[in-house]
Amino acid sequence: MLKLVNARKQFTAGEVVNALDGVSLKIAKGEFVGIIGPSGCGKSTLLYTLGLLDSTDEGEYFIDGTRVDRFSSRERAGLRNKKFGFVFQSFNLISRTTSFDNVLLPLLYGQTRGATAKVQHALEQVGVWNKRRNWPNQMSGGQQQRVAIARALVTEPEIILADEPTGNLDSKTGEEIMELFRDIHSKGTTVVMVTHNPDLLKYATRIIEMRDGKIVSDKKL
Amino acid sequence: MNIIENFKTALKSLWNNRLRSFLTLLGIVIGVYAVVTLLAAAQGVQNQIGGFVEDFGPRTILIMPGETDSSGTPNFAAQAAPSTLLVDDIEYLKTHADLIEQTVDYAVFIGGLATHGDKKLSGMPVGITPGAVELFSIKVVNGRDFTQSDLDQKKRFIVISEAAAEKLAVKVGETMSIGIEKFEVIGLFKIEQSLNISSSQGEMFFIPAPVANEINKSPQVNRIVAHAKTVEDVDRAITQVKEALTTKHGTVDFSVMKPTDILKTVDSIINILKYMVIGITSISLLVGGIGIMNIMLVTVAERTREIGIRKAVGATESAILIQFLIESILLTVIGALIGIAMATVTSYLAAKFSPLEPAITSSTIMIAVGMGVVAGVIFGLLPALRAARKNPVQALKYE
Repeated sequence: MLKLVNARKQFTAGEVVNALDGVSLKIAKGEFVGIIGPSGCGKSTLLYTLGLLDSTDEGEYFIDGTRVDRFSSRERAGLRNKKFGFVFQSFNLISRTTSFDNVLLPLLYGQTRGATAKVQHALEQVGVWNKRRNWPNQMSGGQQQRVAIARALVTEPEIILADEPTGNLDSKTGEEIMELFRDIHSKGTTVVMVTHNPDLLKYATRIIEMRDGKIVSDKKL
Repeated sequence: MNIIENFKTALKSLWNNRLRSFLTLLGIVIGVYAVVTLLAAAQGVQNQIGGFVEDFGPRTILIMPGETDSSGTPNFAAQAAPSTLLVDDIEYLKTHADLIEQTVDYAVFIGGLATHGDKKLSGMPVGITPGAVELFSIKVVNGRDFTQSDLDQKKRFIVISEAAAEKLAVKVGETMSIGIEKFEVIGLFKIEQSLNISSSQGEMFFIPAPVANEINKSPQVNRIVAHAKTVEDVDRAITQVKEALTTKHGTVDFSVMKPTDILKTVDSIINILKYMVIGITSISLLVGGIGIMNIMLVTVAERTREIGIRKAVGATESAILIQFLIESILLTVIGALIGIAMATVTSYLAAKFSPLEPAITSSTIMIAVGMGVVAGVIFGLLPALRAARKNPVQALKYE
């Protein structure tokens, strides 16, 4: 479903860093991919490249057989909206905005039909419908991350991209969030998750290890 | 994102920072307030003059001393010098210009302090023939106006404005003085349209024109009012009058106008004034606009993360651009509306407590709102472009 061929990306601000140094990767539908490695190894850059938030300097990227690395920013935004759902370490909810409106946001940039029902379904799925009128600062970290996951799910994307989703949570809450990802995966959604906590990868079907912008191991479990 | 959602988002953001939003839009409020108030005042003057001129019939021809300057504007400086028009010009016109009616009126300005008992008043006494009243737009409300026989007999009668009568404590039938001359008050009038040219307080005195000539010991007249026989003949009648007087005087030392010419002159002067008003107040709008740009840049910087989030969930660059542009336009338009509201109150108070009659027209409001929208777009564009072009990955990491 996703195919990256020989992707290169350099950060030249200050020290030159090869974030992606000739990465080739295929991800099939229904996989639960865990990407691990030390910080600065390029795993987040890989995730954002897959999610079309970032672009590569070189290499080709195909989604469902269509080459997308030369897409305009408008086309990329459209694909992000339809195809992907993002979950971040620091939740990234819009402050002073209710959970409901935060989850509604992706629908405002795409499919607005039946939005209310979709938002309710997404919030119920992650168990925080009762927090729909709360602002992010009125909820615990775990609740905020659940709202953020609901936001990623509301467009019914094929792929969820998660960047250290448990990094800001205590271990018990982190476990709960991982259970949630397992549920999402079990319903057929592809999950790609960056983490540096190998304990959390017990639900993954495939583990990719990165170092210095290169994939050093790629194991299917 | 549709337009309603954009407005909701913009309103929410402005409301979240209400004090900051309010202080920011003050600049626009003051700018628009100045534009609307000054344009309303200019429009008011224009309306008043227009109303005054409309009181003249369309056949009226006005002859004034002094040459018209090259642009067709009467030479107002010449009005102060001894008049170049004489009483016998009128008889001459009657016989040498057959396109005008036989009744030709005229006005003679005289000097002299008005007194009654121990009350004194400096006004502008004018000697007139009955038809010349047309020049002053007055209505007799008490007693009577002059008749032709009063004129023929050079009766020492005077018709004065109500304001003057009140100040002098004089009633119809009593005697008052202009300089050393005594007059019997036969009528009071009220001024329907005041141009405030003759006297700011509306204190006016009319005496029979031949009496004025007698007092001045001079046959000079200051205004001649003739009428073309038909509306179609006005322009030809003016030419005829000009030719006749030029022949008689041997030179062009007078000007001949129709009331619409005066209106045109006044309109062109006031229109220039209006452009000046818009120009000057644009400077305050510029200052207000820079304030808007500054705050929008701050807003965009503060909301970098939000911009990253919106992009991550599928917002296009143009969606972000429009979101922030709508926010700045909303800010300036709210400012413009407040400015218009304040100007409306000011104009209402000015009309009530001063001789001005400011008029806020729909075009003035459109100009003000338009300036608000334009300022919002111009000063919001740079911040909105910055927002739209933010790199989503960096924006998401922004602290």
